[in-house]
Amino acid sequence: MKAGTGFCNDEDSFYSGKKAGEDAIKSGRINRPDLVFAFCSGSLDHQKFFSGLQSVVGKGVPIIGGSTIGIITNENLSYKGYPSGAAILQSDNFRLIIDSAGDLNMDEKTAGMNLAAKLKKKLQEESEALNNCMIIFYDSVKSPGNLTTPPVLNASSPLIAGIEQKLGHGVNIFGAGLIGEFDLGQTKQFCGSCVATQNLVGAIFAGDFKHYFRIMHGCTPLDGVYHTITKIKGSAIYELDGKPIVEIIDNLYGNKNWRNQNPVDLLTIGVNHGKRYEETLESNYVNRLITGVLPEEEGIGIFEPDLWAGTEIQFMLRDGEKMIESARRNSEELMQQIFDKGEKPCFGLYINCAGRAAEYSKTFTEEASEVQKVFNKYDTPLFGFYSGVEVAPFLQKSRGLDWTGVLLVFAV
Amino acid sequence: MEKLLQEARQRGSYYKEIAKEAGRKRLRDIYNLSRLIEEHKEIEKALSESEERYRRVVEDMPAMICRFFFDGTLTFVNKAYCQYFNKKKAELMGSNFFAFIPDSDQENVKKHFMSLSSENPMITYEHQVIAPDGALRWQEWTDRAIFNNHGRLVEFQSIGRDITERKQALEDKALLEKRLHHAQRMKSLGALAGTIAHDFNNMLTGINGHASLMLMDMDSVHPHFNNLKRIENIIKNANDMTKRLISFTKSEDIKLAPADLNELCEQYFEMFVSLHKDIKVHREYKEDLWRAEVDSGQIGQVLLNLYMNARQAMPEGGELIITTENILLGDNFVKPYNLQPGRFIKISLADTGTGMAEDVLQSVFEPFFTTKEEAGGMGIGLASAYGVISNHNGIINVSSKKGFGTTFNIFLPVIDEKRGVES
Repeated sequence: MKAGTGFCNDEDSFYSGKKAGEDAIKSGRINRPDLVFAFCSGSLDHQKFFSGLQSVVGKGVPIIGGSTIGIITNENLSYKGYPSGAAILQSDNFRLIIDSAGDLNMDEKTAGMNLAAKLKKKLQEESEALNNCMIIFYDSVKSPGNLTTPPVLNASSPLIAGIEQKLGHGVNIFGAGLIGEFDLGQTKQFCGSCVATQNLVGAIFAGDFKHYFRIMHGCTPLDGVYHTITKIKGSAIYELDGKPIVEIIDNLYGNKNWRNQNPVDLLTIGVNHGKRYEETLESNYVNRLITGVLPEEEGIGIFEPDLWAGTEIQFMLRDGEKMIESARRNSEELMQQIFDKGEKPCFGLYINCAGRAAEYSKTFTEEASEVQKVFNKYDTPLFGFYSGVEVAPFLQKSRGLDWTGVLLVFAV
Repeated sequence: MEKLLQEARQRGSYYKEIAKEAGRKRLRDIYNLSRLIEEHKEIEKALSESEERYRRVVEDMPAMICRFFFDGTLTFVNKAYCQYFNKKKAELMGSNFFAFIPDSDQENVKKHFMSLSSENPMITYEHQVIAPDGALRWQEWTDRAIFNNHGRLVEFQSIGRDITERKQALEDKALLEKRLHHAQRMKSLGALAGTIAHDFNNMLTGINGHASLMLMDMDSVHPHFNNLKRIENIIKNANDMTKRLISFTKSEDIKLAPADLNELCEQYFEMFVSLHKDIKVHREYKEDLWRAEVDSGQIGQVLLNLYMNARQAMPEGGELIITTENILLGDNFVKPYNLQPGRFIKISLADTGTGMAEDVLQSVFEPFFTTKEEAGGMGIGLASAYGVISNHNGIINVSSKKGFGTTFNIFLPVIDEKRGVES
């Protein structure tokens, strides 16, 4: 398997696509592009970028990806200006099954089911999806916000449920809800041979290669105290332990200033899937971002509606230093895991929550630079992008994650 | 058992409260830290934006800006500096700017910026530089000494501009003023000389008349015959002199006709060469020399005067170069002489004689000015030449350097033969 990555930061959309493609071909010494991962800033013309990329790889090569806030490669990391990038893979080891489904904003679950149905028709055997990895990219923004209404987001849980309904619950789904800019404007998706919006594009990688992954969030329990959700509706939590959650959070901060944050900076909701009072492991926690206080300040919103009354949660602290340490440690451990299996890492895809960028997580250095260092140390192509929602299997179930970095590595 | 359970619950509550308090503290500490980091980033951003603004000002300034160490090593150059010397920033940074300064100016430049101190941190001065095309140009620089917190001089900052054109313009202006002043002086002198000459001529006529009358009643054996004859001769010579003096002013006694100045130069030159074989002569006549309308006799006399002047400057022999050329004279050149710019014929006579000092040059065309009093010089020849050329609406000038020779230049307006007027 060969992989090459390319980066550009230019206002000219077509040139950006062309340059990213050319650099990827050159860096990976690709002579037969089989698949392109590509992402570009929401400020660029996605169709022109796509065309620029096609002018290099040819119209027959599938391009999947879409909008992003920023790009990460071995040598570049940027979320300012007009960042864009491409990773081109060439391999005789995998068989690609790619398709897309639209109308995501109408019903996420139906869109998931439609995609899965299309992919299923192309599978050589039914279990092909279960044995391999699937990568999805979808439009995170159902409707952009305006002066009077906040943005509405497409939820990952029903989308994933729809896919699993058709393909089976053992599918390892990785991917991202895409966003092109921090104020959550409209996004676009690259669906193989076209550019679309409100779409869900999926690719199943079947063949003779392995995939390894790590989920990194760097959040730790604030005080270790468990709380029980006693009142919740959809993605709005109103009460913990019978008390208003906003008051509990006021007490934690010592003031009400957090109510002005969208999303809330330092505090998240964590669900421990490990043993209650055993060692706290990052990999046991599902982290949920608090989008902010509800308009009437009677509760808080969370990103995904996948908690319910009776769930035990802990308040988690987003510590910048721990986030950076987690990125460094997990990347290194993942690579060692691959080497210990006697395999060679060929390509890394880093799906990184936009909130982890230094500018927004109040750190001096980029946590993604720790991942870059590890990949450069092992001379392995790395391609990453900043997303709105990250999707990865967690405790044998694929789910949407917040404030998370998902590092997926292909190895042979 | 109940007691143990109660104790366990109490212990649990106790540690839970401690954990909560620890958690709150952690949250607030991280919150404060994140605020500090945010402030720090904002300050950094503001500083970066401010630096960018100043950088743009410096880079976009049309003046050259540089910084350098004591030895002339450049530590910063702006875009204008790079453009002036036609080099990239990377090439200039770390290089030495003395490479652009001619040897003759280097000591002076060094002296200027090394003279700076905290009491006197700035200085402005001019020096020459070697431009990318190899030409020497003038620049004006204002140097400022930069001191560190301990008051030590660490670097110099300098703003400069090219002043070659300005200097040239000042020089041109000075030259123009000098020429104008000279022309005006010559005109005044001419008027004075002309008036004196006329009056003197009238007196000579009277004296000559009486002498002639006396000679009519005398034969050659009369004791006063020879004296009266001598008086007549002297008066004749005096008449010649006054005529030449009169020609210094505007004269109507001028007969103009189209002439080939190459032929005229050669005609009088032949006359000169036959008499002065120790002078080596070079001729460089322009083919297709434009034609002028001149009084050939008067111009010939001017040429003879100039040949004689050259001869006198080379008593032990030398070289004489005669050149003719077609030339266009601009407004700046002809303005002091109240002439129109346009096409002229230039005749130059350059000798390798003794040359003239600056003070002599100033007065060389003035009537009665001479450096050859011992040889009986009257100081009329060059004044007469000046007058003749002026009467032809031309210009005569001279350049010389003591010990290096003298060049006389004559400029005569070209005739437009189709229209029969000077072009």
